[in-house]
Amino acid sequence: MTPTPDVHYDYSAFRSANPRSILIVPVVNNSVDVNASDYFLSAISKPVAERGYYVFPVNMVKRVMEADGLADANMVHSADPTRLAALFGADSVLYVSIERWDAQYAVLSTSVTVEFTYVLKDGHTGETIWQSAQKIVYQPRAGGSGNAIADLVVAVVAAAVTKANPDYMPLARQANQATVIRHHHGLPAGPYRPEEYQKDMERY
Amino acid sequence: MRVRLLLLLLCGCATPTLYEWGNYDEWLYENYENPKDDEELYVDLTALITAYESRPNPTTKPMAPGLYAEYGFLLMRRGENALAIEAYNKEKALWPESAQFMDSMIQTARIADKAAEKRGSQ
Repeated sequence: MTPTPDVHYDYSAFRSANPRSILIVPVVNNSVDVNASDYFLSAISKPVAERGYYVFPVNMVKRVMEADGLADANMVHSADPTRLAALFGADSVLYVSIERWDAQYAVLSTSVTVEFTYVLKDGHTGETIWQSAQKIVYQPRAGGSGNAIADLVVAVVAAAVTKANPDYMPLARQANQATVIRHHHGLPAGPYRPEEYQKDMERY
Repeated sequence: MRVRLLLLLLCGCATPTLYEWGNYDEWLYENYENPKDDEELYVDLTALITAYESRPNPTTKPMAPGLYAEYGFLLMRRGENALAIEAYNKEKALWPESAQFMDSMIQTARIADKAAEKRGSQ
C-alpha cells in the first residue's frame, strides 16, 4: 500500500527568514469561552520551544504588553509585526487565533472541540513565513477500540473531559504538539536542535 | 484517525524534552484559573529554580527558555529588584536571543530599585 501523498508546505519564505526566536503575542479569541485565550497561552510555549527555538516568556510578555497599553489581542494582531518584534528583539512573531473552544452536550456523550489557526510572521520584514490550522474534536465513546493502549489514553482523556467543567487543556496541548511536529506542515527544527536544524528539508 | 492522534499524544509524552520545564504549563494554567497575585506561580518557580541550581550534575538539560525571565518578572513585582536583575541576567546568559528584552527589563528594575531606595531613605 502506498502512503497517501501529502501536500508539502512551501517553506521557502521560512527558510530564508531562518528565525532563532519566536515572540508569542496574546491570542485572539473567537470562541464562546472568555477565558480560552489565557488558558491557551499556557499550552503553547513548550511545544514550540522544544522544536528548537527561543520562545519569549509568554506570561511576562502578556503582562508587559498590558502595561504598555497593548492588552487588546485584536489590536496587537493588526499592529505592524516589525514594530512588535523590535520592542522585544524577536526574529519572528506568532499569532494564534482560537476559533473553537467549546463542548456540545448530548444525552449519551459530550463532545469537546478546540480549533486554532497559527500565523508566523518575520519580525524583520513582516512577511508571513509559516501558517497552519488545527481542529480536534474529542468524543468519548462507550466500549473499547480493542487497542489496549488507545483505550487507556481514551479513558484518561475521557475522565478529564466529562467532568461538569470539561478540561480543554489536554486537547489544546495535543493540538499544539501535533501542529508543530506534523511532517510537511509543521515547524522545521530550530537552531537548538542542531542535529536536525537545516537538515530536515525532506520532512519540512 | 482518533487512535492515530492519541498515539501521537502518547509518543509526545514519552519523548525526552530538551529543557527543564518543571510543570510550567500547568502552573501557568492554574495562575490564569485562580489569579492570586501570582503567589503559587512564584512558589513553584522558586522551588524549580532552587532544585535546578543545586543539581549534582550541571550537564543535565538547561532551564527552559523564558523561565528565568518569568521568575525575574515575579520577583520584580514583589519589589525584589536586585534578585530580579540576577534572574534576567541568567536568562540572558542562557539565551542570547533574549538580550534586548532582558536589558530593557534590567533597566526598568534598576529604576524601580532606585525609586524604592529613595522612598526608604525619606
